[in-house]
Order: sequence, then structure tokens, then C-alpha cells
Amino acid sequence: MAGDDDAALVRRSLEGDAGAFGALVDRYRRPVFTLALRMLKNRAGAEDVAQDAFVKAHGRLDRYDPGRSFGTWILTIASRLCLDVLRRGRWHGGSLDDEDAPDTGGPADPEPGPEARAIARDRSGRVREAVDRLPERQRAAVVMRHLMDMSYKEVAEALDVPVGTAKTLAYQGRRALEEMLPGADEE
Amino acid sequence: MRPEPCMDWIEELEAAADERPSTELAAHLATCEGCREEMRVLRRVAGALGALAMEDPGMDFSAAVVQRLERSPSTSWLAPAALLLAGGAGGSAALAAVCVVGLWLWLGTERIVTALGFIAADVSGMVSTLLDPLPVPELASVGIGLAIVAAMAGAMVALAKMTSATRGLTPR
Ligand SMILES: [Zn+2]
Repeated sequence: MAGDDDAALVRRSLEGDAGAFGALVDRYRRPVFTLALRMLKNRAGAEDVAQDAFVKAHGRLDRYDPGRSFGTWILTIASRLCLDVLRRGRWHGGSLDDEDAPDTGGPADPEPGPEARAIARDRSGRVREAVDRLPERQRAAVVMRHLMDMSYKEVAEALDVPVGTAKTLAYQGRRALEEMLPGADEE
Repeated sequence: MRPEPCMDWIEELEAAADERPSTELAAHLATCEGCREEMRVLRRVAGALGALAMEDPGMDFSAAVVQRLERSPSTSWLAPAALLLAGGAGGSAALAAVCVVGLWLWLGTERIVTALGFIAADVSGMVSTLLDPLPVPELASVGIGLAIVAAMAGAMVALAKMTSATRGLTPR
């Protein structure tokens, strides 16, 4: 199962093989959850939306184009669900403000909690905190482009914007990150 | 105000952030301050973003997705009860259709039509008896009886056609 390519797993899922879809979930749960967590900044919400993305993808497997990467397809579904949740300010499990996990808080939080401070001590924590402070669409573009290795065309599709806008969002995000991360490359 | 990069060069700038720029890009960089600045930003930020790890939702994540799919009504292949019900209904319909076609082939069209005529007369008589207390003319009772029998015959023909289409049989 681990050696099967995504198209084969999709084909088997369509034939009713529940194990094949489970293998796809195992393969993509981390990128989908990471994207949702970076976009929503809320662990419980991210887990719920990431699950939603897989459930939705399963219901639309017959529309999946095998010529496309399954990873990009599921990330596009997840990204759109996240944008929808951000628009509403809540997912069906609760409000985005009810953060109960050790995340880095909302934008420009002046007094991060002790756990957030502990995370921020290491470099990855600082980068994560900086990314979390970006405006949501810049954040999404930066994460999809630089963490998920999606093309600008794919980022544009996921954010439902023209390709030029996707490039601008990522560029603006990078510039903002650079200002928040002085000397990031000098360690 | 920081100089802005040329958006047409963005993807090449990103690719060149961790490798040597192409000759064309190098020539462009020599004349464009915005792209030089963007190259500097990319080298710093792309490196920092590399430290951003993939997060793990936990091992029970996949099980939770499967559980949600099982609860979802659209995934009948995951719900054995639904499958059993669907199979039962389909099987019953197929059996009924086979009986109708079998009867048709055994008796022949002529005898079926004669039998339907008798049934029509009987049903008309029944309808007429039922409607006796009401001021309904005799002709209307016959009409209702014929309509009921025509509907029954129509249903039989439709079933026979469906079955012959799926089994490659044509009623003689
Ligand atoms: Zn330029």
C-alpha cells in the first residue's frame, strides 16, 4: 500500500477499498493539518477542518483528475475550507478564539502565554510565530508556496485569486516575515 | 520605500535563492535594484521557512476520518447495513421481474391478453359494487376497472422490458 501511487489509491478507493483511502489520509494528514493549523492558528479547529477536507475529498473522488497531484488537490480543498472558517470566525466545533492548545496566539499578541514563550525560544518557534502574525491570505500563500512547494498557479487556485495576486501575496508575506525575523539566517 | 521586484522574475528569483542564477537572471539583477533586494529577502526568509516543521495531528487522526466517513450517508460502501438493505431491495425487484417475464414466456401474449380481459371484467364488477351506494353511472365503473387493469399491464410490460434489457431476452 505504501508503494502505491496516489492515482492507484484513488482508483481503489472508488472501487470501494476503504484501506486505500485510509492510506491516502495517512500520506497527507501532516501537510493538510499543517496548512490548516498555520491558517487557523487553532489546533482543535485545524484538526476538525483537516478531517473535513478528507471527508469532502472522499465524496468527490470521482471528480479527481489523476493527472494532478492528489496532495495539491487535497490542500486546495483544505485551504478553501480554512478561508471559509476564517470568514465565519468559527468552525462547527467552536470559535477560533477558544484556543486551548500551545499555539502562538493571534496576530501581534503583546503578552504571549508561558507555553508560547517556551516555543518561541527555539528558531522554528520564532518562525512559526512570525508566520502566524501575517495577514491570513499572505500567510496562506507563504505556507503553500514555501512549505508545501505548490506552484503559483496552484496557490492561486487554492486561494481563488489570479496568479499575479498569488505572487504578490507571497512576496508581501516574505517582506513582512523578513522584518519580523531579523538575522534569521545568521544563526 | 523598499524597491519592488519584477513579478515576472519572481519564480526564477526563488529558484536562484539556493543555487547560482542563470546568465539571464544575473544580467537582470545587475540592472534591477528591486530584484536584487528580493533575492536578498528570499535568501533570508526561505532559509528561515525551512525550519518550519510539518505538524502532526496525532495517530488517531486517520481513524477519526474513517469514523466520520462511516457516519456519512454518502459512503454506503462503508455501511454494511445500508449495503444489505440495498442488496435486499434490488434482489426482490429482480426476482419479481424474473417471475413476470417467466409467466409471460410460459403463457404467451394471447393468453395473457385474454386473462387481462377477464380480470378487467371482474375488477369493473368489483368497482361497480363498491360504488353502488354512490350516484356513479355504470359506464364510469367499467372505465375505472379498465384503467386499473391497464395500469397493471403497463407495469408488467415495463418490468419485462427492464428485465429483458438487462438479460438480453426478448419476450415472444
Ligand atoms: Zn527586476
